[in-house]
Amino acid sequence: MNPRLTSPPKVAISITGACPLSCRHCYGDCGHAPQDSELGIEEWRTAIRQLASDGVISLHIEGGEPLLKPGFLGLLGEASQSMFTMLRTHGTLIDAAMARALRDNGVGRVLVDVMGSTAETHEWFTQVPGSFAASLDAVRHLVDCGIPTDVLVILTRQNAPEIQGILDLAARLGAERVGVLRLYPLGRAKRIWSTIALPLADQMRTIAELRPPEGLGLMQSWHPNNHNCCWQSAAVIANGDIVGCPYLREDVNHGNLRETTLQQAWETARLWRTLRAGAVEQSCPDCSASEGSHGGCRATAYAWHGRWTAPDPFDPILNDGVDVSLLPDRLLPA
Amino acid sequence: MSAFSPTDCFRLEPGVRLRPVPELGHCLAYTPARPALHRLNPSAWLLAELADGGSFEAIATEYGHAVAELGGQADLPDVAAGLASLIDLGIVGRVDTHGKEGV
Repeated sequence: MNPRLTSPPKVAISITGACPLSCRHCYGDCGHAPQDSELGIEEWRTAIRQLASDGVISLHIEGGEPLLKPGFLGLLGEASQSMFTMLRTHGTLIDAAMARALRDNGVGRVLVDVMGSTAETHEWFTQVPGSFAASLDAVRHLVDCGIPTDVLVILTRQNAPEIQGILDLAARLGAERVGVLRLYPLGRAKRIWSTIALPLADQMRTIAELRPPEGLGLMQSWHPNNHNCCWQSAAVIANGDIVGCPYLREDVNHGNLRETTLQQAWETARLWRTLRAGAVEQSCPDCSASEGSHGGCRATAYAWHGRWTAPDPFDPILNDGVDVSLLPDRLLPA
Repeated sequence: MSAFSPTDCFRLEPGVRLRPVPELGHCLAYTPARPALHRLNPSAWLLAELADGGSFEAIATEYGHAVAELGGQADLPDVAAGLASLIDLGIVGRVDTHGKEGV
């Protein structure tokens, strides 16, 4: 069984679905304008005060593009008084003045997404000319302000040959770490899955061949780091739905912040309790070592097998012949 | 030899928030003045909880009692080193007995 927490210390929120980019792989199916159903900034502020009161001490904020949320800096400043705040962004709205404003409002760490080491690859995904240079400038401005900054990249067929280049680039820019993330079958990524997804062996080879420059941290969640994070995950998407983990947003709903608190849902939502308990059919012994979790990521396990207890096909020990470069029938777009 | 005198007093730095996670045997500490989240082991957690404005001597005595209850023994250099680490992280500060705060 997984460790059991009576309340979550860490929460992730997708504060808006609005974004200036048009990423082909966008998990949130974001648009340039927010949807009417999104929580307003005052609703978010009230919710975040409640989270702090309920014991949350770390808040991860993503989007869409969080900086497009009207009133975001005020919310950040308030949240940062009681919680360690992390901001995930494409960086295209971060100039020197915005970097200073983020620092002055207490942001703890910023994570900047890039999708390639070249403008050609990055902008094939974002579909916005100039967005690559803007993201790199953002990293420079953040580092200049002394804000701990990471670069994130989602591993795909198109950028696999450039991941080492991203590590080298991030080191030159002064980033502290690079996080290489697996691709999830969500939102628009599902619709182009066969174009952008790599077979597992190619993913593993790409990760194994990486050589981080001295001083740069590398984060990756492939074997032997494939955790089942559900025991500690808590997340809310832009419309207030409580989804446990951002990668489960299309498959679960534990309630809505307009009707309940996250703590109440944590205590009462049956599926959430089941997922946190960590009952799985198979577990990789190597990946169980560090966090005591079992079975690997539940989002990809459920996506490919349709069972919450299934083995995670992104772990070579548990893969059992599944080709993760092909979507299962149940996920194929209509 | 301790870097602190027995009458030096200590307390949490302003705004520091402790979030015990007893299920995992540690405590998270957030330092808003230098935004960072630290994981404190049980010894550091206990020292942070004891730093309520009291003197080094009082903190060391209470720490020693707590450790003794668990069958252990606390040495003054261990307490001093633990407090020094918490000061370095911005979690605990020395109280200026002349009315000014800070280390």
